[in-house]
Amino acid sequence: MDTTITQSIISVRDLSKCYWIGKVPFPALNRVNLEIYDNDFTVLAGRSGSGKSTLLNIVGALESADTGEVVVDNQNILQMSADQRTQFRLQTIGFVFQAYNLIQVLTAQENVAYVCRLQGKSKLESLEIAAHWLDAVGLGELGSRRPNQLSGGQQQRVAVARALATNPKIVLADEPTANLDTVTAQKLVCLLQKLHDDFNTTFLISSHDPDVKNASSRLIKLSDGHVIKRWDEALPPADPTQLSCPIKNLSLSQRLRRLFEGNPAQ
Amino acid sequence: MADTARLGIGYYLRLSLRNLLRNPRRTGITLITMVFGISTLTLLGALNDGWLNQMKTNFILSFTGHIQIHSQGFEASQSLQDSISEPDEILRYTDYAEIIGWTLRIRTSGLASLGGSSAGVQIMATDPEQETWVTSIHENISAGRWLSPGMADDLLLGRNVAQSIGAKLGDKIILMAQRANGEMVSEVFYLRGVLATGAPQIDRTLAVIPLHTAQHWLALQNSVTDIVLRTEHHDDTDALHRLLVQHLSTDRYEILRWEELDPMVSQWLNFSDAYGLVVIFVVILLVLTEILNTMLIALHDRQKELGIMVAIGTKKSQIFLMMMLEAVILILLGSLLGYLSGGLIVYFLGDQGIDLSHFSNAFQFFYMDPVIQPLLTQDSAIRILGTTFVAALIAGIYPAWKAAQLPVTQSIRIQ
Ligand SMILES: Nc1ncnc2c1ncn2[C@@H]1O[C@H](COP(=O)(O)OP(=O)(O)OP(=O)(O)O)[C@@H](O)[C@H]1O
Ligand SMILES: [Mg+2]
Repeated sequence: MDTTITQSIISVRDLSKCYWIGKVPFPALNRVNLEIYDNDFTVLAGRSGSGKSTLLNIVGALESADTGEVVVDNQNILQMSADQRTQFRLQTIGFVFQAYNLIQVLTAQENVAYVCRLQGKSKLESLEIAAHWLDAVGLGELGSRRPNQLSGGQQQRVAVARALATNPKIVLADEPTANLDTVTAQKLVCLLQKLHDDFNTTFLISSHDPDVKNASSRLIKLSDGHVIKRWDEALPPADPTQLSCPIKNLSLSQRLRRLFEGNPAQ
Repeated sequence: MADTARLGIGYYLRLSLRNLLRNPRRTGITLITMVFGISTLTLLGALNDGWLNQMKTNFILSFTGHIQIHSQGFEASQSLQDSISEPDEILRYTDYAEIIGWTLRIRTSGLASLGGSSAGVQIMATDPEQETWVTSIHENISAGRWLSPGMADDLLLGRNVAQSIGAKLGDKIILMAQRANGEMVSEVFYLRGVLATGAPQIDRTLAVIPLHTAQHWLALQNSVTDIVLRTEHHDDTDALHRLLVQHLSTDRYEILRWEELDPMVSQWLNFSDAYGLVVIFVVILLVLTEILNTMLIALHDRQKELGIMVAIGTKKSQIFLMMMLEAVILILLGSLLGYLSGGLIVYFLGDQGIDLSHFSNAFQFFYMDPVIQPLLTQDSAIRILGTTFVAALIAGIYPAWKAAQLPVTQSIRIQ
């Protein structure tokens, strides 16, 4: 991975956010400054309540802030209207949440295809893209299952496929492994890393999980709403042999990449 | 590409259907409640309409006819001075298609005496033939027979009148009345029949005699007080009324519809309307609470999922559409099935009707039949289905709007 010519894709300046319950303030973020570069695999660490979700939600244009500036992919997202934010989330961000990510009445394939349809693609094309991405996350066979017929790990993989199916600039994942057992979590981390290596996408992941931290190229630690530590290239690059990666057949994702590159309208 | 690119109503319709099937028990209970409620209300509405229709028919056919034409002022004065001297002028209009029967009458008050006892009566003189085309008085004879054409001294009395003066068939009875000039005159009649209609107006006061006898006896020549018309259907009344008002001088004539001829009638019509309103009110309450409840529970259960849908790029308008469609499907299914099953009950009750005679003798009065035949009218269908739909739509809008306004981040945080 080439980190010498990277440019900033997420830039957060003096960001503060405070929740109010009645007249009692609950500060969540306090003058946060950070820079995330294109194609980074960054992990946000920090104890529970340190502000990780709040930060991800603001960067993902899900939540407003009190003060500060957030520029994502050259767009000042705090200035956007509600409709613009919806559009921004759809086109620029892929979301993976902690659990229960999926629409229960849609099959795995339909769940992935849904975001493509929201983007305006036809039913056929959307289902095709969904099938490819389910393949890429190793669920090619299970596309016709409903979420309640999938394991927690499989559901998370469908969510990852959905997050990538719109060809987003950034994938935001808020504790994607928190509800999984250790082995399954490891597999998911491995998958995320592989996908990151294969696609030109920036990953910003919040996690307590040491495996996730190991996989990252950068680690940012939050405490009480402050950025307290930043490791840039401080960690040794993750050793793929350390993690057992069950995902084979990733040549398929190469095909996908070509699919997108050959179709710039997407 | 043949597919439509934008995600619209078709897509969310399928999603809504699947969401309804996701919780079949809840959907089923909602539907059953709606079907039960709406079919019951359909039946109640049909009973009300059937009862109303029977009362109308009984009222109209027992005495008044659909439309009466009087000389202007007669309804108020009830005086022979206000009579129509040239009825033929009006009878020219009786070949209107809507009119299936007409008769001429003279009405005035008088006294009937037998031996020492006497009773006040409403004398109605009518043409023995023509009357049978307009009302069913001739069918409601408990003893004896109807007026016989050519028999000038025939008399029929209401059951209670006959009882009060102790008259039996064949008795010689003296009627006394006042001519237009104020002169009191009396005439001898023979009791040929006793009327028992159930209508107090008739049973307690009526004395029926032949028209020609009365015209001669009361020195009225060709004059009559009423021209009574019968239309084919109750609903034709207003159209015929408009037509007559156009063609006849309203300075000379008063043209009255059946509901204007008895102040009691407008009262029970109002009562029936009020009953209809209560039924509608219950319908509204039922579907409103039912739909509101179901949709709010669904909203609560699915808050996380809705939050995720918005987070990944679903528009608020699409969330609103999806939730609204769920409500609309429930409403349509519930109200149609409800109306259908109500209709089936009405159909199977059919001509047999519901016999209430075991419960009360009160049905003897006031033109009511002891057996109520429920009636499904277009009006009530529109009323029930229309109100149901509007009420449920309103009930659906709130949860759908709420779903679209859900705070996304809070919804996502739900575990
Ligand atoms: N809707 C809210 N109302 C009030 N306070 C809130 C709300 N959401 C978050 N907070 C508070 O903001 C602070 C940061 O919360 P946040 O969820 O961002 O932490 P986190 O690092 O994601 O924690 P966790 O690891 O448990 O997910 C916490 O103190 C939390 O209690
Ligand atoms: Mg969190």
